[in-house]
Amino acid sequence: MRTKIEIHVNASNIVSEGYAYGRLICVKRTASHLDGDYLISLEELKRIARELEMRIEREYGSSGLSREIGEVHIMILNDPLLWGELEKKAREKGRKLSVEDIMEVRDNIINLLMESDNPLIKERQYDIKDLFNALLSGTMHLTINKGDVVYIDELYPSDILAFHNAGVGAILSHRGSPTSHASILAQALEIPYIYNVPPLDEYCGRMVFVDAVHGKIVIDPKNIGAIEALIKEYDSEKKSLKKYSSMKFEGIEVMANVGFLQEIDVAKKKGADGIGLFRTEFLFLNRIHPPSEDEQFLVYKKILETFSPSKVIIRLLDIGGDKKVPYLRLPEEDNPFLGLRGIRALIKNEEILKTQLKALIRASLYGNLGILIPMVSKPEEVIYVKKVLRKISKMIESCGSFKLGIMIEVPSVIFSIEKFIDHIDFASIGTNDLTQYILAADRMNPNVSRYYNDEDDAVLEAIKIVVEKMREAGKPVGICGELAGKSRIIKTLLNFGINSFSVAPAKIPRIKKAVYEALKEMGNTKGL
Amino acid sequence: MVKIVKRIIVTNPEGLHARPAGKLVKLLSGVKSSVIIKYGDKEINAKSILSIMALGINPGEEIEIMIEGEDAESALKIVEGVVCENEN
Repeated sequence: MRTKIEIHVNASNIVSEGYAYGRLICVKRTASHLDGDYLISLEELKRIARELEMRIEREYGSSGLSREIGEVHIMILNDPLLWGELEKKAREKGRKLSVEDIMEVRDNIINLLMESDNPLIKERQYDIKDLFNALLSGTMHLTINKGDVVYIDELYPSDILAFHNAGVGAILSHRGSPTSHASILAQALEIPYIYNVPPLDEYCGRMVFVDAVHGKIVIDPKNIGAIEALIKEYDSEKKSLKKYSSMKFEGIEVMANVGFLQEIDVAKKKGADGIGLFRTEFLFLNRIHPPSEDEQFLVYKKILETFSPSKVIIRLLDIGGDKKVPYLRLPEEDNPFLGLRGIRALIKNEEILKTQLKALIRASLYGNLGILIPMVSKPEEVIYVKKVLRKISKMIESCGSFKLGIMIEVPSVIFSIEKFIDHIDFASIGTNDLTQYILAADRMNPNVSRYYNDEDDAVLEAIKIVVEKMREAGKPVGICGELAGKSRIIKTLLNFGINSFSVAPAKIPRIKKAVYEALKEMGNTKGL
Repeated sequence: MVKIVKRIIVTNPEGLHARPAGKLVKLLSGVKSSVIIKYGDKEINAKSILSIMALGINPGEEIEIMIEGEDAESALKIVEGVVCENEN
């Protein structure tokens, strides 16, 4: 009997939720089946491109998102820059093109996109790779049976369609990103998908349980019966969930955690009563220069307008020494999670903070804004942000109104919350970091995963203290960590007095259902 | 033959990144005029999605549009529609 192996992945790497149990198939890609000496004329390549175009039209079908992605692929296939480069290469060589020549053109185009500061543009490399792969008749050894779990290094949009047709149970990829076209398709087709998965090559062919709800991969799991029951229950529940999206409760809100502008449509569709946490890191990461005030303003304005008059809570840049950002002064630290991060890092990078606050104040005219300060551990940090805000407000002609709140994730804040309360309008409990700080257990470290438990009594007691103190002060408090996305804990949290939950968009209907059932059980008909 | 040159601030909150670039190229596919986007020291064909994406124009930045052809006016409307769009 093989021993079971558990691999934990960060829940933020779950692109599309769900469970699956099946055989792990490692899919390898070959660039082309064409002989290295084989030469292709431009005319021939154009003919292949036209055929491919027809195939794309057929395969990507007529459903909204999928069709849009197909259209982008067709645009790329007809792109003047692409054909210009191919013609240039043919002239240079004075002959037909080899596979190697064509791959060089491909790589030049990818390099152009990779020079961009924008992660969404960098991601288009997968679309280019996908298309060149198809142009050169690259193959995948597809022996996928219904229910199999696929592991692949890089996932392309056309893969998703092929896997979907084969009835794949779940997809795991080593690389990827939540906004790639492949990810968008996985969500649309409701195929469980996690990226940033460590290499699984040594487990190919073994049975695997994928928990793309909490972020866990189990090789050779033991209790198959329980897993199958769990999957069955999840699937039947999913069907009944849709009706909860549009449900509203009096005095209780279920909001969305989002990190990309592209996610707000999904949040709205899933029934978000507002945005409980908008992470702004995506605006700042993977680029050489920080985003300008105008760039940030336009993004914040868009989110505020979309959800107005509902609340939109935007968190200031929350970054620490574990991320490399060339324009930020962040020292290398032995222990970045106990180092300069969140507001501590912003105070050391005042220009970045000022620009972000300016953009937020300008955008506040367009909706119901809450500004959230991350990683607060001293009241002075809140006072400092307020001082900067006052200074900036004088420079801006028309400011809307906004609320200022803090993330509660450092345990000491809970035991001295009185010192903060007068300075803030609201608070949001970030249970992920709070749990790791209270229990001294790194969420991502598999060696201590049994020590990390956000349902631990100590964590729940800490939440209770915060809620009570905030209630006494008459100030709202919400919860925005993974804990808020666990149906079974909702009743407990409601009993504590929590009335604002913020979860990943996909979890909203499930949590609304949990709120509905808890209220009914508690005999609270007022909220319903 | 009409020739239009105009400077525009990109107010689309997505800049001229992937999605708006696709939209622009799609809408311009029916236009006869040549449409050039000038950004910094680079000039590119606005009918090429790869060229637009390679520029990576962020929201809030200024670009120059140069359009030449019989349907230049309607081409300008298309460009402004995407570049200045705040779609909801």
